[in-house]
Amino acid sequence: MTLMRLQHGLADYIHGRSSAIAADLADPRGLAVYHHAYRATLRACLRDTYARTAKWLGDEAFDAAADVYVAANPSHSWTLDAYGADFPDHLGQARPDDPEAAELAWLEGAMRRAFSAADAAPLDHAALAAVDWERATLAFAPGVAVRRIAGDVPGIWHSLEVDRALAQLMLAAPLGLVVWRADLEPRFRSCDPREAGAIMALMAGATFASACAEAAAEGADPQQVGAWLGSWLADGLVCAVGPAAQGAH
Amino acid sequence: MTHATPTAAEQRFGLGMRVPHYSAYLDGSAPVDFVEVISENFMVDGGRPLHVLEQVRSHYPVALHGVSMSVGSADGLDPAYLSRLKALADRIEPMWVSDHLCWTGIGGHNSHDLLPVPYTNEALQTVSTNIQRAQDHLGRSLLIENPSSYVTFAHADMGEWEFMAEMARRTGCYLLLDVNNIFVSAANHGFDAIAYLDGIPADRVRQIHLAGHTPGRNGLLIDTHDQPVPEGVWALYAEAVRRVGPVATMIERDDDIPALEVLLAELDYARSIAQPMDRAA
Repeated sequence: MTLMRLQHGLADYIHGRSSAIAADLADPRGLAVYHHAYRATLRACLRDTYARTAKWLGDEAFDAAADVYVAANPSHSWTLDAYGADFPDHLGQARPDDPEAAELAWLEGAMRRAFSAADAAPLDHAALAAVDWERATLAFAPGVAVRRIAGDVPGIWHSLEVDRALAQLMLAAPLGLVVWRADLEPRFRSCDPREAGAIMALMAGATFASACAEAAAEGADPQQVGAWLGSWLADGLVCAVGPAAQGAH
Repeated sequence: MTHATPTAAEQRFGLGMRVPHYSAYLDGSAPVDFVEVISENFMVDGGRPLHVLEQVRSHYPVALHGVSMSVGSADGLDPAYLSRLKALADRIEPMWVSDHLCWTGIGGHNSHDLLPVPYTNEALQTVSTNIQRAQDHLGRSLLIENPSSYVTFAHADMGEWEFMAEMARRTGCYLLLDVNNIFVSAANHGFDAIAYLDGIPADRVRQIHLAGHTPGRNGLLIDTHDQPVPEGVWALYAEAVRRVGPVATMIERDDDIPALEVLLAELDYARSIAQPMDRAA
């Protein structure tokens, strides 16, 4: 038997597809060690990335969801860094009655990606004076992520840190949630959902002027949009501004 | 093609850098001769991990120890992995870059485990080709570690130590001798650990790993790295040092990690075994 066939045989066993490899082993007792280790490694990866979600759902519910995910999603990369990137979507489908759990998992995943995202060159503030804001586009720093949320994810995050129950899981009205990295630490804050919409549009390549127009159509005044821009620049969310701004998202 | 060779054989005692002890390595207060890190933990785009490693590197020599090169894979090596590793090595300037005699995936699926290679002539050719390719890409000679294993294949052309020796001869790579892995595999597969040490080319060994293990089901020992180094491994370490002379020794502890002082005391015990041998040599 060739090396290639032996390796596919052992991989088939590990992935639960076939146990035919046992016939090619001098002693198959240890096969179960590899079979178990694969699942344990991927489950541990999900538990590590989504530790707060696991605490929120409880071990039994989280592990049940994780095991279904692992069975359906083999790892295809040498690194586990991106494994489970769509686990929040899986949670959303598997637990439709717990929409806040999927949003919490999204936040954890985004924080993890921001932690080791590429370093961005610092913004050249002096160049801002010459920007043509009618035509300007913005490049956001690697690791910046944004979405709208219906659950009180910031409240849940805090409640898990202080081990305190939360009175209300869902927000009275949707909010935005933005994630970025500053001083090597991943951070998040809730925001006006129109601000989240503006960031999403800009990350998709819209000009600043068109994002402002969209925000205005949703009721945001120009001063408000200016304040958002000021905070993006001050917090390091934006790494380049100008017609030639290269997307880093 | 010529490759940068690892730093010369020299008696040094180090520890693996694990999160609970980061602060002692960041400020240079941990009394170790070198630090070993898991390469893949730092093969990231940016952020804190690389800042941490560069600061630690300013205090200590660093050994890059990988778990994902997969030199035993019939699929060959992943060029993207090699490029990431080269970028890290060029940035950190390590004592050496090491990985395992194993494969981790096939057909686009990764096991994230150190899977055993059959000790056949065909596998030897594959492993040697992959190691040479990696060394050419990295521009440096590798250290390759003997694995612990839980199965053996029905067909083999040679023993593990003969495979290691011939692999080193063909590729010019150096060896990382994991004494706990020899102990575990000898117990699991019934070979003579002393014969294994006798079969290893001593002049190719640059580093020794020490660790603990745990009895598993079916009478197998499992390489868990969650225990102190046990007496049997210390005894085998003494035999190893007697044969390979003064090389770097490092203790691996990856789970149930105790206070740094506990690991430093274990490292002192390693010194107490190795240094009399060194003087006698």
